[in-house]
Amino acid sequence: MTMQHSARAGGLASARNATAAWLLHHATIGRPALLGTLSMATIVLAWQISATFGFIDTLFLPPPTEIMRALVEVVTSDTFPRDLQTSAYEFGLGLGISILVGGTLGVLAGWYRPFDELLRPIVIAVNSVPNLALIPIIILLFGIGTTSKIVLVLLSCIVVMEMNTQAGVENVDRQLKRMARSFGATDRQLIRTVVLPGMVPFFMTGVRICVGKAVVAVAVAELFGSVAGLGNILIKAQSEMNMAVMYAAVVLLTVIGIALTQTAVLLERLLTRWKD
Amino acid sequence: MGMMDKLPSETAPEDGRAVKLDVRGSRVSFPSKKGRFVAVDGIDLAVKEGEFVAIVGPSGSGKSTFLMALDGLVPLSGGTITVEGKEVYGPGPDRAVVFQEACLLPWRTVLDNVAYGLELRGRPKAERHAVARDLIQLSGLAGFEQFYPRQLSGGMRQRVNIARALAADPAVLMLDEPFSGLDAQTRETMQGELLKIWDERKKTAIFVTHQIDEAVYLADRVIAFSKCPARIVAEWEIPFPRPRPLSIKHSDEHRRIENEIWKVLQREGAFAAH
Repeated sequence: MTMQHSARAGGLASARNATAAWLLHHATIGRPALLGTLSMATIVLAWQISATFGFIDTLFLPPPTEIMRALVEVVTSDTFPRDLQTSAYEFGLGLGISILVGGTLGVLAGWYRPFDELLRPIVIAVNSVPNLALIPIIILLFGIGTTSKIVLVLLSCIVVMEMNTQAGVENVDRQLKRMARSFGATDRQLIRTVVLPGMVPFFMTGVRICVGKAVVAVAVAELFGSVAGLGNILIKAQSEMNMAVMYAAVVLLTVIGIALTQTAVLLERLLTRWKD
Repeated sequence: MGMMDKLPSETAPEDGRAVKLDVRGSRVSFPSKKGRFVAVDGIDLAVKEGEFVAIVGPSGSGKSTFLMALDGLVPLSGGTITVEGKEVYGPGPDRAVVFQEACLLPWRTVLDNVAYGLELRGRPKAERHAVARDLIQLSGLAGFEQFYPRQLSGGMRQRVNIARALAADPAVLMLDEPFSGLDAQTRETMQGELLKIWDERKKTAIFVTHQIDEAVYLADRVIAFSKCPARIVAEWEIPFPRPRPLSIKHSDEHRRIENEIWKVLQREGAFAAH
């Protein structure tokens, strides 16, 4: 409407309409962020006020300012770099191996029917076990070091990567495969030029899901037994009854989880720009 | 007016031009619940160098299957196909198809889509891009080299589809109802564009369509297929000189030939309700 109108009207009027349209457009995009911030701010403010006026027991639910102070204290402590490094190592290595192994298995299962039949029962079994329930066993088997955390990440993620990658391979447009064959593509060329690029959307969805799963796996495994890590900060604070630090650790894990997931979302969009 | 309504076995090339594509007794059949389903039943066809042959027939008459057999994607259950004297057993660089759906790789730019056939043959990047740029120019796509398929209209995608097949520089170009998904206006424009490109390159071409006017406008020779299983029921030499302007589609002679073909197809039950 605005566009049609501004196209017909001349000179100043059309310029004013264009500006109005631009403002409207950007206001529409900005509104979700604005309202979202507003609702979050309201909750935090209400929480702070309730704590200040003694409506809530600050021993168990310290005010936001107290948690922020604890957060700064945690992040600036001498042991924090080691904790962060440990968790990042467990997360990175676990996720990396999962993507590599799960992706490869998925391509093979999507391409060779017999391999799919071979793999299927294992994938269904591993996918059906509640992974977090395995933590006590994994810690007995692999100790409280980083290995047990990586094993849990693998158990949570490989199967997800395998299933998504396989779905991606199987969903590659048949007509595109026929076109490639018609131009004389060999199996290898077909995989390189059609199947691998074509499976990217499914594959990246798998990566995004696994980023979230890996963060949870690392944090929870560290709660059960660890010598360092972000989960270790939380469990140590619990033994000291330091409520503020516990909340600070939760906030930290949440923020890191969101940041990593959003990075994966961005990467997913970047790699699937060719889609409509 | 130089038109013939005779059996294909009588059409031997007599003007000295070499036969590029020679099909003898080709049969295509598939296993089905009721025994073997025959899609193509004993087709003989000789296409001379630089000749443009159109195949018309009702939807589902097996003409696309016939084309896929020529491309080597569907195996023959009888007969032979030879291109430049070499028997066809599978897809090869001597043939290229312009598909009904554009079948462009959505993650590739126009330039890399057009260069695809040459890339598969291991040609260096500079060479295949040079060839692709020439054809992009010829197809009226100059300036769109770096666009992705989703940014193009249906007609433009078909131009890329055609350019890609030509870039592979095949001995025989095969087109499988390439304009059937386009609206009427775009279809007409594309018919004119195709002839312009074809006049430039003079590729031996086989064009499958169910649009009679399209076949008459484009081809030197129109062949009518029967309803499934496909057999050749008639063929016509199209007398119009080239280059052909789009306006000849509205000439009386054009309409007369269209009518004649339509009658034969109707007699064959091509337009029976299904």
